Amino acid sequence: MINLTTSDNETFTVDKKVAEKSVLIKNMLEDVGESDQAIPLPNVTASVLKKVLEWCEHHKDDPAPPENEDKDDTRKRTTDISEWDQKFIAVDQEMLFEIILAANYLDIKALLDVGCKTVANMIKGKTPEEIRKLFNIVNDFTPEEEAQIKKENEWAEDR
Amino acid sequence: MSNNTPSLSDTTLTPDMTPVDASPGPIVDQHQPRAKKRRIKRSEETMDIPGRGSKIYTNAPIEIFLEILSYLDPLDILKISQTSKTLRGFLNDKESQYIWRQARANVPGLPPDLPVDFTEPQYAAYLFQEICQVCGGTTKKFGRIGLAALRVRLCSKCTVQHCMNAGPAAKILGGIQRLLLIPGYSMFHSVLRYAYSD
Repeated sequence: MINLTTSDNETFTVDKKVAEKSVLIKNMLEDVGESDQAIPLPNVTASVLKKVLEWCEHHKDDPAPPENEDKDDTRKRTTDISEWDQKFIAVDQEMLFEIILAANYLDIKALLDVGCKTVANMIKGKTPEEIRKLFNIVNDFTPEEEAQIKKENEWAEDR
Repeated sequence: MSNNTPSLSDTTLTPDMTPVDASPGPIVDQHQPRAKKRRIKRSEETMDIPGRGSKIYTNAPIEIFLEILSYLDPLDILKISQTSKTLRGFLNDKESQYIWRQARANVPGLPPDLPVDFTEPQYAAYLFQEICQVCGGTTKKFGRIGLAALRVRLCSKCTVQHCMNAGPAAKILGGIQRLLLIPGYSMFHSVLRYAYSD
């Protein structure tokens, strides 16, 4: 079993297999060896880690993702999310954001993907105004500029 | 220990990431002095106001933002580029072309390359945005194939107003061979039916 301590000083005890869904933790365990000492996770709060560990527990038997994926490869990327993951990620935006950040920090690629796909699905089909609301982006175009931009008809040389 | 993924957390998608005319690329060192020239002051001041969902855009590492964009199609990218000057400057930068390229790859059957005489937003608008590129009105219909050569999406009213058949056009221009001077003409046989009337 592995102990993990959050930024708000809560300690979680989990199966090694579950904890090792995080590449960060896996690498740390390889580097320092197993010990009774808790691994500090100063970037993650207890409420978020609880959620992340719930995901890790459910996915602990998934095959490891293929390494050395060609990142330059441009091919179709789908936003399909499994049913379980969809239910898991149906949280408020604040928590969604925290889960994404934690997945990024803990290096859990598959969970990061679920989070990013969810945000992408939120953007899809939205108007610029709806996207601004979604992310609190301030519209700094004048109404005239906005009308012009919508047409997207400047010639390439104008840039 | 506080920072085990330096390459990711060093770069934050702050509102000042891409002043339109600043250094290439979206990544700006957070610790840079704030004195740098600003063009988009108003938005920067207000962008920090906490609110629903705001943090993903303002506080997430740029990698995460780019990862999210990689799942979208060209119309979504276009809409994002129409939200603010900062995002427009960033997405329309040559350095950001790979974002549009990925977006095209997400549309089954769309060729990966940008036609040479289009800009990225123009092409996305031409293909997917149901807006007339002359009057700004709604135009759901797409596919008057002749207009492909003119690189523009037009509503039917503007088509009538701004286009003419190639026959009369050739007469006005003084010879059918002069039609070849029209951009894109030689690339599309179908253009025989249309030419500028401006």
